[in-house]
Amino acid sequence: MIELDLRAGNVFEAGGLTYFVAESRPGHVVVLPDACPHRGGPLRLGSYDPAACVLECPWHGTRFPLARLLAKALPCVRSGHRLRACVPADEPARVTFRRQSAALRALY
Amino acid sequence: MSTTSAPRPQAVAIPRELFRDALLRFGSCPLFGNTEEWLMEDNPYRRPVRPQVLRYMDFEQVLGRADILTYSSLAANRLLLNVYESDLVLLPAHGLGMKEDDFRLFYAPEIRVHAEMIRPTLERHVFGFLGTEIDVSGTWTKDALAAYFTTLFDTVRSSDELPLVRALRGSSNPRHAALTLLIQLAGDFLSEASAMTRNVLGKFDQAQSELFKIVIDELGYGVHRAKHSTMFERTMSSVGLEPEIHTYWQFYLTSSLLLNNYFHFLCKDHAQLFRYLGALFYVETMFRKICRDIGDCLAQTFGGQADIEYFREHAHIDKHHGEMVLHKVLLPLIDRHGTGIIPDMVRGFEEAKLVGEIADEDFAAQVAWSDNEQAYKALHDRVYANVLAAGERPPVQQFVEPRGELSVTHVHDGDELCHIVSGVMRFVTGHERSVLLHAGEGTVIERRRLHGAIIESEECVYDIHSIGDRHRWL
Repeated sequence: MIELDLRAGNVFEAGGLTYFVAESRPGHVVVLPDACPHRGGPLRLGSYDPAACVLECPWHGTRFPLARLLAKALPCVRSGHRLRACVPADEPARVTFRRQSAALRALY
Repeated sequence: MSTTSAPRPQAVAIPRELFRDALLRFGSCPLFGNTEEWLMEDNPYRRPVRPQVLRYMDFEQVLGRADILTYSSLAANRLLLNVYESDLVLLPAHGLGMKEDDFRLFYAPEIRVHAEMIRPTLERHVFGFLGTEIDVSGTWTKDALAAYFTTLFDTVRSSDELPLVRALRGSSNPRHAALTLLIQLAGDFLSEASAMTRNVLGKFDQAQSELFKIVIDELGYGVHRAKHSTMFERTMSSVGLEPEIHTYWQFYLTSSLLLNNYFHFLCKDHAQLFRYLGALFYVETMFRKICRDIGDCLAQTFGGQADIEYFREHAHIDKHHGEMVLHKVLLPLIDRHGTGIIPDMVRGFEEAKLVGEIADEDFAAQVAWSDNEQAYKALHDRVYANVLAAGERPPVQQFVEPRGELSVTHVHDGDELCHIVSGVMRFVTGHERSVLLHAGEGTVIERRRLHGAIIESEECVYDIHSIGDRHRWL
């Protein structure tokens, strides 16, 4: 379990993996793995088509329905600006947190 | 696997005009009218809501977190508690006597129909902010839930003094602060577990029986003196407070009403069962520390005079209740109904925490407000002089009131300046806490702080200047 202040940023690393926090619909945040399922591209830098609910990876243009990505979303709860997310238990809790533009519209 | 809880299917809304009509009819019930007394002595049906201002309120807006202590919230929460408690059996401790008409009116079907018509809009008004403030997402499993609870408990265990306890200990009048706290708790504790009992009927297998065990613990297994509300009555009596429910109706803070109503709100709607159980788990686990600390504070403040058995009992039994809720209710329900119910549980847990924090902050601010009533009175002269000297003066209203006229407690959304033109007013900042204001004197009224007034001369003429932010006039 990690705790983040969403005013400070929306990308973090835990256990060697990168995750990003994004707003999938107004007021609703999700924590998604950053690595594209295709070749590991940075999904946080992709472009999002809200009409089609599809995220496009910046590396190869692979398009993923948001629903598919959400199946891998980390369990999390936001209270105001504070976000608690459960990272997999076997990953170290050390977190590097930084601000970086997200593919989905960033909340903060 | 579970993700975010599904939004509720849209129900047919109550038309605006029907809501407004029902609101005014409900508010016009004689039981909810203004009063000439500060205390509602042994009459659980008399609950003033200041009906004269209801027509000016906009309850159809959802209040944000920043506005949850405004007058609109106070008014809506007073109304809501009246709505919810018409489901409960309440009888005066010293017999119905002359109150029989009140008793019958409180439960009158016509009143209850209006109550139900206004309930959804009022609930959205005061609880809608929780949907914005709390957001649950992702793929929740039992392991993730366990990790989440463990982290939260570790945080609480290692936390410093609770804000509520800090307010008690830091008060310049700890005795009054402690009485104020007991008054805030009384609104809920004197009918303890009533909201919860809404969720023990029906059929939901083993979890239902486990929940029932907690309810009967709260009710003392039918032994009246062991009933938790009876224990709390003894606490009240031991420090000189009246033990009858809602005697101190006028002194409930907005957040105390909000907290009490929150559990009725969840339990009244059975589709919120899992959300409620998350909130219950928070209360049963966190309440231990709160009760231990409050019990210590009361013992310290009142010495041997205070009966703190209620708090000692909770510090003990809630350890068991917390484990019962987790292992006998939450986890078995997840096994049976799937992880899809977890987000609602997490939501309830976080909501109960947030509403509790709001109540703590509000209580601390009110204690500070009462403690500083002389300082606010002293501010009057400077602020009044600056208001008179200002090119553009703030809006002002003048009131002329006769002896005995009581202004039912309320809050303002901005700072106000009260200036006495003639006569004498007793300005009340809490139960048995007041300052006397004579002609030429006055006080600054801090925004969102509960206060009332009573006229103590044949007539009193006073002005209320809406100064907005007092710092601007200093």
